[in-house]
Amino acid sequence: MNNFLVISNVLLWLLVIGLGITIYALTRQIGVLYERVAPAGALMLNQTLKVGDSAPEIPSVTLTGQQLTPGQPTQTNRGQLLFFMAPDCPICKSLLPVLKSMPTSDVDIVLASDGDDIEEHRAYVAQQQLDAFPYIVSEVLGKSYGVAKLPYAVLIKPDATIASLGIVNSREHLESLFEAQALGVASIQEYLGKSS
Amino acid sequence: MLGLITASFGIRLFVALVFIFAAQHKLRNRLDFEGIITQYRLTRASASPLLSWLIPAIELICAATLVLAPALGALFAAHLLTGYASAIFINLLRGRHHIDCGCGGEATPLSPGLIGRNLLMVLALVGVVFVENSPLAQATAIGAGSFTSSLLASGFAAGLGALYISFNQLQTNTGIYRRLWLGERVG
Repeated sequence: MNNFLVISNVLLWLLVIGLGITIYALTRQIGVLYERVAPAGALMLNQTLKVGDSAPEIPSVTLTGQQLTPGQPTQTNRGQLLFFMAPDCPICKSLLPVLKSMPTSDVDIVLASDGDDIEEHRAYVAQQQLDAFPYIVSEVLGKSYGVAKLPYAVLIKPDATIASLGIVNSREHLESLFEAQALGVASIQEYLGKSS
Repeated sequence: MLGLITASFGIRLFVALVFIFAAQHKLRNRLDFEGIITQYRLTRASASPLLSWLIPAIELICAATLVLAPALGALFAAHLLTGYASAIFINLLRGRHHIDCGCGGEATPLSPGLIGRNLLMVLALVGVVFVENSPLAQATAIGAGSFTSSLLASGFAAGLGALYISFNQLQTNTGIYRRLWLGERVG
């Protein structure tokens, strides 16, 4: 009888550890699934602006003291990508390498953030090596473009109309903004809606 | 009593392992951890580099104390975990639930669940303090060191560890879901 108890106990222990590992693997799988089935394009959630509107002209000053007005028509035939972010947003940080590696032949990338502590932004720029991009700290800018969630990106055409906009959580989302512009649709969701 | 001592040994082993893993993760990604400390906004940003060395060091000392001096180690660990829970609580009150908790692994947003997790561990550690300080525990200290007892305690610690990482993974999943489907909120 005693032997039987020992054997059953050992087996139960093995079972518990095995089940523990299985539960962990399952929870990990849920995380992977969330990533796999995530929305394909940048999410369009904007109460203020829609594609085709003229972009609000907001005169701003960058961290380096340079005057810059996002939403102003440019003569250079270059578009503008406004990337709204914040130093305390982990996903924004994970997108910075994507921004740095993006071809900038026909688009100027402008970083936009808000907050009172300018030094925090300066430190962030230095730490993440963002000196190559103009960096605007302005609450008005975010409000005018109807940004409620981060990271958010707005692609502006050279004629200062909005080409596409949305929440960008991944490289694919960011690219979907350019794709939407190239296809002449407001969003990937609209494109999928049309073709189905 | 031997059962309680074994359970107490298991809990100590488990918490020590949690701290060792947490500390090595923090040291390996020290610069990231520095940013995380700053985002908690409880200390001056200039103190973050020093704290990013100090906190993992304290965690390692705590892990060692848990193994070598049971009652003292448990008290130490309980204080450390309460401190973390308070830091999370303050930032939840401020509405800064989107920041990374710094628990290690992928970015995990702050949530009441994390506080609950820490408090459960604190409760278990308080139990450990009582068991280890009881006169019977002192008398049976030799029994606790036996092979069977250590084996059982290790099994218990492994089981708790599995639960712990599963719980953390679920919290991380919430973060993944939020950022991919809902977008991060403005701070």
